[in-house]
Amino acid sequence: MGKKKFRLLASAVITVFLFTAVLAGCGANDQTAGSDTSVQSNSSGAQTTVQTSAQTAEKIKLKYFGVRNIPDQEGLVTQMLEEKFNFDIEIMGAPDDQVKTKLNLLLASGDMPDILPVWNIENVRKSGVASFGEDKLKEYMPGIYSYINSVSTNIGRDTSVVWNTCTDEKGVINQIPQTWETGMNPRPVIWRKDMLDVLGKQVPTTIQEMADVFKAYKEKWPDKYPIAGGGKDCLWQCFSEVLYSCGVDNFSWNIINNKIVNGAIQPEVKEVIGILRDWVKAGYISPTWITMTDAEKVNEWNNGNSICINWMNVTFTEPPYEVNSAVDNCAKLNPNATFALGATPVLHEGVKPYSFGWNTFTGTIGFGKHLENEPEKLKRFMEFTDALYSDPELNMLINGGVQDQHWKVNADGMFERMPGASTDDELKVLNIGYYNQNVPANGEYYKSILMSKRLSDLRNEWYTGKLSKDNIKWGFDPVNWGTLTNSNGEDLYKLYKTAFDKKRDEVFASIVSGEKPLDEFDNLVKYYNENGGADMDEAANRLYLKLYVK
Amino acid sequence: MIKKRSAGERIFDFGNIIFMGLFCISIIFPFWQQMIMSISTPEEAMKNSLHLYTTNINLKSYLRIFQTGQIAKAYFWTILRSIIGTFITLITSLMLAYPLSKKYLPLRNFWTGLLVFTMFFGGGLIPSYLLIRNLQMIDTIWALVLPGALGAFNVIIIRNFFMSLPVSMEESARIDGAGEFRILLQIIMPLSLPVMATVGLWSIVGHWNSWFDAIIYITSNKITVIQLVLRKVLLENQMGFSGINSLMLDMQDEQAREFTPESVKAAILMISTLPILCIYPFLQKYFVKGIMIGSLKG
Repeated sequence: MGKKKFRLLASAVITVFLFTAVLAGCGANDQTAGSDTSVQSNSSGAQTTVQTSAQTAEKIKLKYFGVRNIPDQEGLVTQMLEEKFNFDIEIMGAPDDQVKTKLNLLLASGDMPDILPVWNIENVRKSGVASFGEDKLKEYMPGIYSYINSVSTNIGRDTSVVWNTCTDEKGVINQIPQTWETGMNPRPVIWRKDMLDVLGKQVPTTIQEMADVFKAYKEKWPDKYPIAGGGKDCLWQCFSEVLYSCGVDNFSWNIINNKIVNGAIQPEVKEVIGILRDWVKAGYISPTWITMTDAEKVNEWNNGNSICINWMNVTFTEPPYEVNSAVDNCAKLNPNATFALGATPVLHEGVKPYSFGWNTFTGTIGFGKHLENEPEKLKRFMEFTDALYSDPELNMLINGGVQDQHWKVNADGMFERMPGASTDDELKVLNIGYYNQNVPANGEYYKSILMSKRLSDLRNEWYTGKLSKDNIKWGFDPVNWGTLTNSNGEDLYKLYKTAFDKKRDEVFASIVSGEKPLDEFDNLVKYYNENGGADMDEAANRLYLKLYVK
Repeated sequence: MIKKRSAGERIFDFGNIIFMGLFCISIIFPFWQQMIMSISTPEEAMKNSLHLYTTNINLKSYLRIFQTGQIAKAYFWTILRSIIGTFITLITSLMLAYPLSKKYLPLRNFWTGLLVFTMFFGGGLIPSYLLIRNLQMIDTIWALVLPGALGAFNVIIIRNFFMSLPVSMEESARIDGAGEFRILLQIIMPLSLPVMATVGLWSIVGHWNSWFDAIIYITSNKITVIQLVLRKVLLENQMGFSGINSLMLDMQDEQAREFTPESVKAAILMISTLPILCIYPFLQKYFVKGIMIGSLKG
């Protein structure tokens, strides 16, 4: 056989061999699919037999998925939890913006964690988490069950409706709502009282009074701007101190006359956008507002340029200030500054300003789907999660560490971190603040000790008075964040809403900046009506009935 | 005799210098601006204006970044993966490119076509993850260096370079009794420094800038890469200033005054690009030659 023929034959044999190997690899069953945690326990040498008796606690592996701050693997908190619950904890996680990708990847590869945040990730909600039902929920997680019910009642939602949003396709509960109670509080406007005093003005209660303050401000400080807006990062929170005065939120669904309507096309919004446009012309708002980041807007306040800012919560305006509040940060750079709280100014008498609130139920927590085949493990993990919420010592451990070693109760009755457990890196080494991410509201005891009596009293005074929570019911975040589908099941966000939202933002920005006349708003309304507006309204109302009405 | 330059040539040179000068400024200026912002005081950094110089140098942004606990570990792993990954890339690319450059290789067109096919089609993220997991490379440095070790584009560049080398050199070596490996190592490789420098530089830059593979394949905190840490610092600082509450983000009071998200962003840019910029001058002479030579057809 010639050399050339030999080479040809050898190449052909190698080619066939390689193809066979590739096909064999593709066809092989995956024996190491990670859905079976007992296999993983095998590889680490731990005992894998799971006793059915609830009283026997064999050491088992727990794959715990957290977000944002992925800690070091062997921190003190992890070690203490492992010892207490007889777990071998493997920490997993991803940065916030990669959580969806990571969880989808783990779902597809059969490597789902045992405890994980679900976060409205559709695939994970549908097929990634175990269904356990209300009976198991009441039995293994009584603390969390009772808490979620109390929060629901507090915000006027039927408890069964809340739990209905945490079920699988058969209606069996498979998730725990995560909560953010402070997000439901109406937002105050913080004013620079010292600047108001220089101008001879009081804290404005109406839009006209606000305009008068700004006019006086420009006469006194012509090179600065009294109000800033982070148009680049947060268009929908821009100038909320002014926008909300009309009683409607132009960036979300609202309830008006017992119907859900799209705030962006309401006539009230046209009026208030016109006011902002006039203020840009008058020089009260920087013409670069649309390119400003949220950080730049906050820095305008911190550096003493802005005379007012919309803030998340009622906070102290007298020292000692709440650490890292808007007042605190501004006071650091402006030691002579004084402050006052105010409500969103009123545009028309008799019209309550809108008050923005986050969805109280911000996401959900779940347990890996594979645990349906391992009821004993599911039980232990559910009890573990409930204990992190309900047990005072454990709750404080995961949030603050060990009392008098990592945190203490200060003279003001508030939670205070101690040296060695206060910076982000120190907390990460200790694993403090990691496990609380899969606990509703970070847990009962931590919440209670986070706020001093002084702050609690102040907030009660405002939230039952000038910043009544009644106003906040106007904003329907669950509808905003929910999926809108038409009667054919088509996703209206894909069909219409995304395009409309983009147009809404463009129209808002162009009118306020002065690029387009105010009448451009009417074109937006026309666009909405001609492009699925009726379908979106119907879907939003249907979703509202589902979420809020039994 | 020195030829006198005509008026037209002088005008052209003048215009050329102006144009190229402006062009260079347009490239250098953004980098200069970020460098100045990174060492500016918070008040200067927040101004919406040109940042040509600073009167008060403030290095707190760099301090904030380097105080991040994982920065040293991130640098270590990133440098390690860059070195190992580049070495493996060069070795494997050379070893594949060399036989493909031989016209007498049986089924040469088939192998080349198979290689080119991988440039357009891939298995996707999930199959890649499953493969890495089944090979038990999760949470190891091999998950960061092996998946992208052999790039079709690199192989083609090197192959074309090999094809441009005179065949007579190999023939004379063969006559002297050299085998294929000896020819590759002692004759071809020393002549291939330009293309190796080019491919090596691309590989180093690719490893230096990678972060997504670390998120996917590394689940624990034992291994981390610099871009991931810098990204986290950037996001943390933006969140801290916008008032979005995170109970983990307890900044020391004095820190809140000494830097801003903008200056931290600029400092991150400096930290992530300067090390690579320091390598470029050493490879410059190979880079220009290598990138063009690889484009020649054999």
